[in-house]
Amino acid sequence: MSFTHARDDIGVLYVRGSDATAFVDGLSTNLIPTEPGRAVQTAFTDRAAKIIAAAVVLVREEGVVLLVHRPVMQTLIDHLQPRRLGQDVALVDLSERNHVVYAIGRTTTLNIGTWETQESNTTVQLHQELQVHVIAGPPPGDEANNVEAWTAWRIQHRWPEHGVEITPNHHPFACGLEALVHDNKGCYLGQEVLTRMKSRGKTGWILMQGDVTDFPEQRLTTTHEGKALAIVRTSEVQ
Amino acid sequence: MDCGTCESAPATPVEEVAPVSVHLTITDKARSMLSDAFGDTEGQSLLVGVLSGGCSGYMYDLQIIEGTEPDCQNLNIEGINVQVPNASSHLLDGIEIDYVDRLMGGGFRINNPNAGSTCGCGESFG
Repeated sequence: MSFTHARDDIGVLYVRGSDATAFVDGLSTNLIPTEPGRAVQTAFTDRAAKIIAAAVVLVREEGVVLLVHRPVMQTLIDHLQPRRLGQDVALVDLSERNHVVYAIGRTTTLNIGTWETQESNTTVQLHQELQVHVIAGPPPGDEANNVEAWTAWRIQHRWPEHGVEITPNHHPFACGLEALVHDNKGCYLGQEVLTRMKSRGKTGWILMQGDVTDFPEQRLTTTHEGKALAIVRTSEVQ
Repeated sequence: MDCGTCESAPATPVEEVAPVSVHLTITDKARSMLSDAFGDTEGQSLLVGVLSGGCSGYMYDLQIIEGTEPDCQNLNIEGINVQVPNASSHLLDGIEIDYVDRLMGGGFRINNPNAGSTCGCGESFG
């Protein structure tokens, strides 16, 4: 299966400055690498470990680029701005200068967790089958928006989506972002809550994939041709 | 990605918080420990700053430094030189610097009336 999926709902926030990597690392759940050319996903959480925004992070020489769901972009900016506190950090919204396209199933020479730029196209290898393209300029308007194929891929790979599974009501363990919670990176906002949940083995909720009939209807978050993602109580699956 | 203009693109506007004239206190125990730490070296100060991060969103940054840091308020609290960055002054006005003498979790501790919450280790507040 190979297709592209235009993502005009994803914006580009550039965190510029010599303190940018440490700044993002100190406020999000995953360990942010310092080497330019690396890419990771992370989540910004509040004190209760509820998600403010999940983001793809591209590490550059002069800062980090965050690919963020546009509806939560301003919330994230409002969360980050007051915490700059004299550090060499500036936030630059580059959403109007770039557009984002997902490409599924393309052959690649990039390693997972890396990115490269060729001319005006930055390619991020986020998953073995998923590339994210950040392309300079506004969207041409005729890009494929393969919602059906993307939904099927998401379910197959238990890949949560902002605004669907990833919401401010959920912590990362509840919506399939457990891989974004680094076990021993140190303190960040929400870390105490997440660490306590994990050490006690009580995350409360979990994102699962299966057949639509496997889950109570009210737990379903995404469905496609009989398959589903659902956020269910851990007690319901034990 | 439009990287050519990344470095020159304007940053999102920020409503900068005006610096606050900081008042702080140091307990007798903390002052004694700081005096020991300073020793006989002239010109040393305690830099009390705040960085983003930590379990509660902000974390204290205590350093003993020589000389004067730029854009800082210089205070003298009963013989102890203290410098507070203007950028974090609004978060530090009214603090008390204490020293807790115990084997686990001991050390300098900041009691901050501006903190809505403090993490377990006391290094972070929100």
